[in-house]
Amino acid sequence: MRCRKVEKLLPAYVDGELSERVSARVEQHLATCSHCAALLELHRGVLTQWEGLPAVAPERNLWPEIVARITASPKPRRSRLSELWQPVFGLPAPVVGVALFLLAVGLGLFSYRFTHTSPRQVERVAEASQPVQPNTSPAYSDAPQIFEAAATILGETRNPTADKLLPTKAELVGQAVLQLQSDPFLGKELKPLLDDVEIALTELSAAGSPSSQTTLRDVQKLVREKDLLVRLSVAKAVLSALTEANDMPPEILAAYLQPPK
Amino acid sequence: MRILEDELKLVEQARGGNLRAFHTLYEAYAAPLYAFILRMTRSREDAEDLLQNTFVKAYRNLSRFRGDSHFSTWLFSIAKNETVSFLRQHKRRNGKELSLNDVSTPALSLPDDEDPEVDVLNSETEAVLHQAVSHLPEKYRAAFLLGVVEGLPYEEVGKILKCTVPNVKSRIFRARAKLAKWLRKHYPEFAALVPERSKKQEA
Repeated sequence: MRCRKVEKLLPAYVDGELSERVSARVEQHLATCSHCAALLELHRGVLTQWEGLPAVAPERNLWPEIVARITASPKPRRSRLSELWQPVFGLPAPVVGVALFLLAVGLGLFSYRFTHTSPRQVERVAEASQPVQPNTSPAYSDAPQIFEAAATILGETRNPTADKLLPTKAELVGQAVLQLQSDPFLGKELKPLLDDVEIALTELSAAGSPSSQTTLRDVQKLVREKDLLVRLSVAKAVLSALTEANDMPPEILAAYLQPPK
Repeated sequence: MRILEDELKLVEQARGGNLRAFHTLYEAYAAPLYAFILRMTRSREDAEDLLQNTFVKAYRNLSRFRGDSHFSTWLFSIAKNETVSFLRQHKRRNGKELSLNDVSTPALSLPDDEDPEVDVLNSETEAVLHQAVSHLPEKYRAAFLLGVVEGLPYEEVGKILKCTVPNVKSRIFRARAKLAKWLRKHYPEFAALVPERSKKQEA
């Protein structure tokens, strides 16, 4: 067997994929040809030397930037067909549509028989249509205090470049917001707002960028102006993040928890 | 690379906008994807950008993942397309591929009880291997990195590169042959680094 032929067969030889007969002929050649024998070692090296190399990983955390970009278009696109078949009340949308149509027809026929309504019935309808009170879960009973603390913390970061710990804090807050998004207590309507907070905080993590000041003002505005649940969510996120932050001494954290005078 | 057992469930949750689920997928697969992209591009900065693009594109197109392969395979397909497209653009713009000067893969610091010489050896070996791989044509390089370095099954590599399993095998064989020849020409002493145990494997 000639060198050129052996060279072509070496990968299969190393993998043990040659027939016994061909393999024996390759070995016969290798025993007498130092050139091909050296090439065989290189073939082995090409396969085995990767094993001992240190693992490769990005030098910085890329997740905050990814989050900022994907939350710019909040939800993944769905195909039109899959959108049509998204479950509503646990059933495919078209099924629910047909059911609602039949229900409407049925109700129409039923109401046709009762054209007059008693004053008591009017009262009952009025009672039922009273606006639903916001969910005042006991978990949020200490809300005003928490909210004030969060506002103070965010207020303190007015000059992001002066706070060296800000990138860490902002990242932790961002992570806390992510956790909050899976909080069943939060309604769907709050999630886009939390996304806004998340984007703002992610941008903050790149402290010193020209947009930091504007972003910070946006966050503060969001904390102060939106409805109670949003404010509480942001406050809770900020506090969870600070509680997890190892660089925040407990006495300072306690000071933050004091309502501003 | 470890495949997450509940990856389909996580993908479904991410489709509903659950970023925490998507973060779990990111944590599991970012490192091998980054390693692949870095070895394709030989630039840390470009690899980081391309990794970001891969995950952003994946998230926006989650509805197109049909579940007929591992999620990691689908991610690798996106990463490969992003990288190849980047390399082609770069080549068109500059008339050549990226410079080897961009390569920077410092060896990790070893625990005190390990021999520092091993560290040096690894760094040299690593640099030589990366340089050798960088001389491979693009399609052989991708097949080699996925099938040999990342150790993906050839079926999965075929799905990523959109070719048959025999074709994957053929590309990898050719890549290996080219690598060995390149090493013989530029670093013949590389053979001395091959551990004894692998020499005895066929004995």
